[in-house]
Amino acid sequence: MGSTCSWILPTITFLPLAACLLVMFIPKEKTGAVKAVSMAAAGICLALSILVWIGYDKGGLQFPLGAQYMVSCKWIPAIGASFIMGADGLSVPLIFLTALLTLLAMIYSAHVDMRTKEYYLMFLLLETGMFGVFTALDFVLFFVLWELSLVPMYFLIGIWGGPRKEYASIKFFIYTMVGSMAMLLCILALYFAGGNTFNMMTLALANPFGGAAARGLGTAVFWGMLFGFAVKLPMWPFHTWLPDAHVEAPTAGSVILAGVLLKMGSYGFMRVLMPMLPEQFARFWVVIAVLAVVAIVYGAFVAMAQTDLKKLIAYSSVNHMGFVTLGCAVAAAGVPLAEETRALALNGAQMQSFSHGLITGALFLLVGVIYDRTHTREMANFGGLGVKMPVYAGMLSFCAFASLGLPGMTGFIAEISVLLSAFAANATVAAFSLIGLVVTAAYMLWMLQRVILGTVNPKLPELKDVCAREVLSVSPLMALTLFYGVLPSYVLSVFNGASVVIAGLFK
Amino acid sequence: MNIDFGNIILLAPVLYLLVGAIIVLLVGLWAERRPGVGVDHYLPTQYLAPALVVPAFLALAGLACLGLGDNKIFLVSGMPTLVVDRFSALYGAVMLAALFFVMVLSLNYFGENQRHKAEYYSLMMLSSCGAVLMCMATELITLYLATELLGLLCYALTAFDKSNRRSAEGGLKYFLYGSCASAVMLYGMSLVFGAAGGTTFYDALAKSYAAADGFGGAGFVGMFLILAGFLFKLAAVPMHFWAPDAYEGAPAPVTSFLSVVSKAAGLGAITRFLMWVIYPTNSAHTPWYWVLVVCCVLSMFYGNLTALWQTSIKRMLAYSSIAQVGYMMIGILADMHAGSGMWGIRGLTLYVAAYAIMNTGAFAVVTALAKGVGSDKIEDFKGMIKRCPVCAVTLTVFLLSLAGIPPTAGFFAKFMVFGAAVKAGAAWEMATLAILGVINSVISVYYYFNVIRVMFTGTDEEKAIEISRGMVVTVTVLAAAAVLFIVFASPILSAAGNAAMGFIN
Repeated sequence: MGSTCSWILPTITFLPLAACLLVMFIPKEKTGAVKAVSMAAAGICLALSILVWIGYDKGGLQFPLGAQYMVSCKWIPAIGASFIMGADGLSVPLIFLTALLTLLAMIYSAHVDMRTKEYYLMFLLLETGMFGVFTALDFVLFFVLWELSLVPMYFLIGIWGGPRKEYASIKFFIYTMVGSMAMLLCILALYFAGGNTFNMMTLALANPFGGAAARGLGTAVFWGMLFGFAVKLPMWPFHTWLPDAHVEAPTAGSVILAGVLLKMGSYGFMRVLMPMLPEQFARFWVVIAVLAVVAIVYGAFVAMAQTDLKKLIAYSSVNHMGFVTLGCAVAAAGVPLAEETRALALNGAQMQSFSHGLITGALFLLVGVIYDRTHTREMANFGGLGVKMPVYAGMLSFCAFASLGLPGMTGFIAEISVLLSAFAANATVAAFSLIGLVVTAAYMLWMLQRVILGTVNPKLPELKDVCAREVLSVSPLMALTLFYGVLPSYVLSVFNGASVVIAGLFK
Repeated sequence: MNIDFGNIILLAPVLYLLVGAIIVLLVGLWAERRPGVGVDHYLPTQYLAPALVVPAFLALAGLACLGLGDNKIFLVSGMPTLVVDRFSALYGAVMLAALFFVMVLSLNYFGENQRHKAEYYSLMMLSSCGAVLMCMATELITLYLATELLGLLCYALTAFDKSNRRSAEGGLKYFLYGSCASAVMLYGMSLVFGAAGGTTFYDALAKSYAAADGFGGAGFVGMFLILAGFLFKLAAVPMHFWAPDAYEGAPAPVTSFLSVVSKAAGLGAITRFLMWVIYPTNSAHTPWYWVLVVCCVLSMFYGNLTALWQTSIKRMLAYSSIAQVGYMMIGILADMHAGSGMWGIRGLTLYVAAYAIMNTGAFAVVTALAKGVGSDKIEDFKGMIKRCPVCAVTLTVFLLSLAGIPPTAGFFAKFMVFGAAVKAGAAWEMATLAILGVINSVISVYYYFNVIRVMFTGTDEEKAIEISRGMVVTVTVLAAAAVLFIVFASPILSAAGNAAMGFIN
């Protein structure tokens, strides 16, 4: 299975869709069969995504010069849209992350008994959309699959969500729709400026808004595109949909939302914005860096103020994703900077988005565990869980420490890389983001203190410790957090190929 | 009068449809006079009529794909009156496909024992002849006659449900507005005829327009009046007042006929008129261009903002169709700029095809549900996913498509027309139209999703709704077409491209 194997990416992408069609024909009473088919499909996708990782050639082609596992065929020649898929250092880990989190989310959801069939249908459809975003290298295909992932998430929040699900789901949908509509117009502008092609590699190489065309329309396209990805990421001040959507979504939905859908935004930064509009990115890097620092600091303080455990994790996403944005901004900084430093910043950004997927995914699952038992997420109602649920307390502490960036875990590697390169670019920016880091440590520790330490809250009912299903869904994430934290080179070497190429675009 | 019969073969699909309409009428008459003979048993008109439409559709679709080489002009008295090119054939094919589905819906709506069913089906076929001829017309008088053929029969169809006061009211309103609009249009045509000295689009109108760089004086006023007549057919602001009442009052299949076939005919005709008469001369700097830009913006905003507040799903769809026409007009406007490469017309054609699928489908489901629920209030569709899963899922697909969410047909349609606007984006108003278009798409998401939300929520265990097997097949086919558009987009786009390229030469 070499990096030239062309069937593997379309298979990963469309296998869940095929499973989705299969599930449609299973009678809805047979929930066992529905779950089996869905998990089998997700499992095969995970296996294939591991094969993709193994077969990935570190010295091989990277976007925009080319891609590995390329498949390219005609689709709508009348407008120059083709069916192109490919993967590189940027997407291979994200494909793996998507496959892993979807399978774990399905395992965790095995106890969902309300409209089980539709629930799994939505997850499978969502999985196709997410894989498609990370594999498509043609803008029409990319956009179609990008939007495809919205609709199932709308239903997941709107049907299986919490008390304010209707408000949260439509807010999520309209907010992201505004972003993707802006993106659509920019894609069209790129298409016409870049010689009537939707091929992302051709467009990045042609750089239609470089040089003389960099001002005017080029600037407008940059901001439109940035807005599209910023909503998804989410960057401050476009993050307001996130707490609502996260809090109301069912546990597995939150996991996918935080673990994969937010990564689509950061992926867009590195796949589209930086290679296709490098001059504009370098020109406006300060704006992006400042917004990133605001997100880091603001996210941390707002998270500290939360009393709802799930909201706290949701705001910690704003904080953590700020580091991804900061890494991208530093990599493109319009100041003299060594190419290694730029690559380091990008490695940090990619690491942060990968690690956030693992850690926050695990944290949301753990919030779900306690919510299923107590039907509350107010931290004031907990206390002393360490005595009643020791294993759970251990898992929660592990993930909280990972989230605050404890050395030896993935979050530390990511944040230190971003901070080191940020210091080289602009010490002020780096200094301010340190505030966020300190506050993150504070709110995570305070959260642990309120939830698992202290005296046992007398109002708490009898609580069973975590069950096998829950351990099975959380432990792989914890194991990977530790593994890649101790041996980061396994994943950094994959990222690095893509980072070097993107960093090379900025002088 | 000297008709060139050598070319009459070109009109075969239309003539065939005309004869078919008469056959349907005669069969119905015969069956009514002699109920015992079994005519209605062996030749039931409700099945005969859709069957007769199919060959005409195939002929036009074939013409649209294969073409006839050069544009073939049909002459009367040596004057070009009708043109059979890929463009008119494609529009005709789309309209006849929609007609077919409307007939299938009618069968479900009225049932087997509809009164005057032969008249009903033959009226539909005849008005479709008018619709196809409108897209073929290359001369003012022919255009007017075709428009009237379509219009008059539509008034009758709207009021067809004689026992329903709303139907009669809608028909009367439509008729009053419509006759005013056509009188205005006719007056405009006479003014333009006076200014140009002829009625043919290309030989008289375009040449005299180019020679004087505009018609000046009376002809100038005449152009405005003609456009007003077209806008009436499109139900675009400010000529939209008839639409909500007529759409709500008319029998449901007639509503989808009005909103799809009649609108497509208007779009085909206005496109040909603008492209032949003023495109060759600096069309983007004419006053009518600006008038159309304003109407386009107003249609989008008025349609969408009004649809937000509707409680009746039929009225909501009526207002949304006003907004949809605004998006479609972006395509025409973009192509009034020189060097547009006909992206806009291509997009418009794709839009009309997509719109035919999704709007016919939406009205089909709404008709079936409204009949089952006994109301067309949106809130009464609560919990539909449990009461009638097929309806809920297919209606969701159609609404997603109307909102322009990928991978449905509506997405590709919007993609193309917004693309055309971006392509002509060097003109500030086209860039603005592109942005206003996407803003409106977002607004529309709110009310389309409101229906979806209602259908998927509501825990009340209400009674299940039964719909006929034929209906299930129809809506499933249409929903599949809306979703699988992504696969068939290529041939449709190249047919639309070939059709649009005819305007450049």
